[in-house]
Amino acid sequence: MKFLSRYLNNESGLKIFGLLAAATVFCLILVNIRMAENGNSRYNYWFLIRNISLAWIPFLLAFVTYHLALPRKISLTILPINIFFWLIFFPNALYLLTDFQHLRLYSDSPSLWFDVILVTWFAWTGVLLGIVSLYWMQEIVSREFNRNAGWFFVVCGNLLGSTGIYLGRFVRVNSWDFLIHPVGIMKDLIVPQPGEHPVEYITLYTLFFTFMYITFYVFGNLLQKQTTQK
Amino acid sequence: MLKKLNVIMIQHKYKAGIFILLTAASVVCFILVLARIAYSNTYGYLGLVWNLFLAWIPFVLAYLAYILSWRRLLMVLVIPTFAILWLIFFPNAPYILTDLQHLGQASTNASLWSSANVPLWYDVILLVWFSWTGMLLGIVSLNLMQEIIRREFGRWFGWLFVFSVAGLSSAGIYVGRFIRLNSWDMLQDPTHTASNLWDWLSDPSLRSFGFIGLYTLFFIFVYLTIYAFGHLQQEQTGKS
Repeated sequence: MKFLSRYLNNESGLKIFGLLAAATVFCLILVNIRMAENGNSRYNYWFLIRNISLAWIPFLLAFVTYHLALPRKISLTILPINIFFWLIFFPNALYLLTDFQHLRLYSDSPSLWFDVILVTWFAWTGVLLGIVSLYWMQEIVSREFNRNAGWFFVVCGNLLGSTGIYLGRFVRVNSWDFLIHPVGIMKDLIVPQPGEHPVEYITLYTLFFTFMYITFYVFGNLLQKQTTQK
Repeated sequence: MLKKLNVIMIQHKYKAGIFILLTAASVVCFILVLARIAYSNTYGYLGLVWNLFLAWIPFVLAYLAYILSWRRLLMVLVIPTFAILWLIFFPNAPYILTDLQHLGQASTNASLWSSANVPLWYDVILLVWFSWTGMLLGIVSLNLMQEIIRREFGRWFGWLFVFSVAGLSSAGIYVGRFIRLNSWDMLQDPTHTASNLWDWLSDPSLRSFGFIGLYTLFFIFVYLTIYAFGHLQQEQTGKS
């Protein structure tokens, strides 16, 4: 017990894990309330559960990769594989933001205010999962190389993440499609369908995630200064 | 002189950094709305700029209070006034979250928003930019106020303050969204506002409980997670 409390006190990573797990459970409760109140199949929000489950994959991958203490030789072979899989699944965390569009698709919903808070809960949980996992990956990269490489990884991760969102939203592919037929996906990206704007879309989301991430990062440093001041 | 300025900048680089980041984000929000106006020839979402401006008020108040609070005399005289003003204006920051409902309303009053030729994904990212910027403005300003309280009264009061503000601001969002009152109504016409509020408080709906409860929990969750994330970084720098 004493060991546990000491561990909890020192390990903010576990606190974040607990908070995000609690938030996810809460999201599930909200969806169930929503569906029990309006069982009408026209307003279906069950897909959010699938999306949030997918958002946990990169988080768990980053958590394990970061906390794994393996012999140097083994970790060097495992690391690239983990980073690769992490990059493929990372877009799922950010993808939850785009689920706001269902507010319009279900715009005749009888309880719009509840739908707004429901999707808001899901979207923030998803993006926070993404941001924390990105942080762990950044730490791994800066540990292996240096700080600049870590930040380079953040920007690349966000760029690839936004590209992934675009592919998921418009081309309707999943993370694992990338493993099965990567060439077809690339073609879709280079030759967009009429009426789609991949460049604007990806730019706006990349900017957004990078802004979010840096703001969280700077805010964290601010907190750090406060604790040292007292 | 320049050297002194440089020292101040380095001392406060994170506070200045947050300020610059949020200013930049607000500029991006503004550009996104302007681009939408230019593209669609309608004035949809122009109201968001006003809402974002209102979200800046508690941030600036908290910033000023934080700077002033280092002087003992000012602390006693000025801070209570600032704190009340801050509390009245604070709900404007998380209020932008509820503007996401405009996505759902767009089709019902299509003439007003004319969503016909603006792609849906653009409206989504536009609202996301606004709502996150507003929410972050709220979180940072709440943290500055929490610091002042912590310094004066201790850690527990600081957290008590955070939880109370989360509840009060959610009630404020509800009042703004459904009873349609503004922050300044409270200052301008207190009796009318009080009677309006009384009508609601004497007969609260199930909806108001659900709404306030859900937003309170949400705010606390986001605040705690960002707080824990800050400490995660701290442990990191401690290790290396």
